[in-house]
Amino acid sequence: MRSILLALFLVLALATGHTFSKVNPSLEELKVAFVYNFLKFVSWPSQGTTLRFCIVGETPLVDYLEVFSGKSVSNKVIMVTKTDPKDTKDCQAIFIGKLAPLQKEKLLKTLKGKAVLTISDQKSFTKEGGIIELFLEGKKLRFKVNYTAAKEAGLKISSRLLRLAKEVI
Amino acid sequence: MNILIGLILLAIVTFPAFATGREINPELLRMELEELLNLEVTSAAKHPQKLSEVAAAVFVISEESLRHSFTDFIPELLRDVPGVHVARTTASDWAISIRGFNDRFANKLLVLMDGRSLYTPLFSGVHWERQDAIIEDLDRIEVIRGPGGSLWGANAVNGIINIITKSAWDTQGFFANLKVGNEESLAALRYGGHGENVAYRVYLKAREVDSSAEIHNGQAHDDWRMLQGGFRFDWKLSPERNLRFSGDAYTQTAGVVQSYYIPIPPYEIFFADDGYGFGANFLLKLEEKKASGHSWCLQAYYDTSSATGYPLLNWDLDVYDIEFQQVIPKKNLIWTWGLGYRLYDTYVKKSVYANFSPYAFVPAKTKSYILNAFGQAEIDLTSSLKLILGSKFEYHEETGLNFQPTGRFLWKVDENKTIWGAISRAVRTPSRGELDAVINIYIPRLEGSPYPLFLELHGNDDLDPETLLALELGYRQSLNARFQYDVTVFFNVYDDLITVPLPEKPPVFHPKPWPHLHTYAKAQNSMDGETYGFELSAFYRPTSPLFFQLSYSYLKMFLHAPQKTIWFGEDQEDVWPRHIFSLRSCYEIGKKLHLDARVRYVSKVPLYDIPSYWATDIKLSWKANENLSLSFIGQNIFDPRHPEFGQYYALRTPLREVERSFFLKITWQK
Repeated sequence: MRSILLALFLVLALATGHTFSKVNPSLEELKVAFVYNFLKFVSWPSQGTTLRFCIVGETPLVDYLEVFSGKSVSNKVIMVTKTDPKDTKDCQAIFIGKLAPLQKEKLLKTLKGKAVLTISDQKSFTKEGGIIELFLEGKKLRFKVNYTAAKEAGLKISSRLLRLAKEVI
Repeated sequence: MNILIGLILLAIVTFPAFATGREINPELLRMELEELLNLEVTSAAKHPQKLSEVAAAVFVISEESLRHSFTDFIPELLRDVPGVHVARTTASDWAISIRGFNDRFANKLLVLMDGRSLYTPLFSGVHWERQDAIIEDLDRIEVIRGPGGSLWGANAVNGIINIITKSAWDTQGFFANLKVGNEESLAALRYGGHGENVAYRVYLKAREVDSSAEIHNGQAHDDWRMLQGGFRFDWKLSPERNLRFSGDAYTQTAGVVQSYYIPIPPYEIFFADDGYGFGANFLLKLEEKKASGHSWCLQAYYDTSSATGYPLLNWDLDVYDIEFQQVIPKKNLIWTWGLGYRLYDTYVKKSVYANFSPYAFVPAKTKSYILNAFGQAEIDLTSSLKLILGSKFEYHEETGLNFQPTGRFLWKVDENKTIWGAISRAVRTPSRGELDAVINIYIPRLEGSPYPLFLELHGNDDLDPETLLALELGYRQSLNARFQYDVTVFFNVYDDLITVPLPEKPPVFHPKPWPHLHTYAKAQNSMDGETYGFELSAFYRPTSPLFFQLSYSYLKMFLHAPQKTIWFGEDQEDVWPRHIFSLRSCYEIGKKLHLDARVRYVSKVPLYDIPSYWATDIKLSWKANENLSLSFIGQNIFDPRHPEFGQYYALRTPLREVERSFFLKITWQK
């Protein structure tokens, strides 16, 4: 009995005490944090007080990206909406999830040269003309930047972001 | 592939997953990009898995839980799972079952590792000592209590244990650990690398386990050693298509003691010998998952294993398996169907000792196959009510066609409350042992007779499968993000249970060489029974670095046989501990120190006169730097030794006790 009491005490003793936070993100959480940072390092040619952030295609991030809504980056308030790939004319930044290849091609074509930051975690996204591509390297998240496409779009990407990118094309 | 079915099952029930916003750790949004680049993701799972929406009693040992575990043995990891009784019988054997009927060869559960069945068709059970991996390379262990027959196939009667290893993409870099202690030591080494589209890992693990304690007698002859190595490749053929190729091989040497009966006192003598175990497997899996929810998977594996040098029986077993399955989502309906073929090639050999006594499989060599097909429809009746209907059809060469239907419902009362229920039929096919074995059994004294009885037990190839009709009802609730609990009640009705009735013909009296009785008996489908029980699990995380996990199970068994049974009979009612309880806590004291503790209780096992016991385990881990961590582990710290299970029926060994143990573990990774 004494040992049981000791054991229970041990378990309970653990319940008290101070707390520390430790970051142990899921892949989705980490992606969202990256996307949020990207928005900070890009400047748009247009003035305005809002930044319309659109989510297109299927992605588990849709559940998380809402946390941006109402937050501001460089004096712009972010507004998150899930939109149809055909209806992206008001977007300034777009996260592209899974789309049918044809749909994606069409969308990137429409956006070409427009001041829209395109971000995706789909493979070969930068090669296809997208601006930022997230990918996993082992357990760590990395990103590629298509600098040519960003310049064409008239977006300014900070050198810090370019420096941290795994690949710049 | 069964794992894939499970994944898909989990994925499809979460299909309309775009519900409400999920929380994100606010600290992440405050971090600089440089810091984010250094973070590691906990899991690269593509589908968020909402366990709260599965219409079955599921418990998952998560990666976090694995990191905080007290052991490097896969069977020992199952001690916290509700509904599961884990008993260590010797240093190298475990008796593990779900919802009743425990034995070293517990035969009513299906165990899989990455889709490969670990269930042996020879004795129907699992050689737990042969199932190993680097624990840090395990992604999770899913345990489903209750029949999973309609998707998972025969022998998934009382439950399914699904051991899932990490993708090679998640085990990159160097990893090494060394564990030393009074009862066990091990060393493991792994390296993972990758190219643009392919990742791989190779590993090696060596283990040495000290003998357990023998009741009244000091140390037992059951110490063992093993060496295991393996590899895994994961190719991304396209964004939607993945190919996996993996393999493992092991070799073991174990001290084994098995009993042998002679018709003169002391009647039962024990032979000690060194048994050698060998095994290897290769698995190839091609899968495609589309964003639309369509998916398919094709898997093939080969598994070979053997035992030599054991006192009584030795064996070779080859398993060839190929399976295909597909998920087709439609509006308000998800179809899942599949096909599978498995071939068993077995050879059971008598040892030298067995020549003196009937102990053999007749015929020694057999080949048999299983064909199966299944289909399941998941129907959204309303936005909150789901109905699942399905059946598996399985054709066994020995027992013919069996069908295993299930009907389930899941009702989401609101965001935080779920009720589910199920009615299912499942079958267990007889093992080769039950069909073909000849075993000599000794019963010290038959009721009403002063003499010992020697029984020559013969398998029976006319046996039918055992059947189960199971009724289950479950309720889950999350009171808030920090506290969740899960309650399940079940009522199981078994029919055609395999037992050995006492033959009607009275045993023959032999005065020589020493007075004894002798008789023959045959296995029969002549027992039925019921079990009912209740299982609870609760999870409480008051702050993010601290969590508690509680599980409790209650079960009662009733067995009925028209005749007196002498082997695996009505006395099995008393093989299951009525109460099993476990409470564990995991606490991260700052970024460098972790303290884990667990208390658990198992009530008595009356059949073997095993008293109830409490056990306490602790673990203190210190992360010295990014690469190096140290842990101190104490198991059964308040108890020098205790027995957990009795001498089982087949291939008896002397009763053993589990001893107190302490370990130091060093882990290095880069």
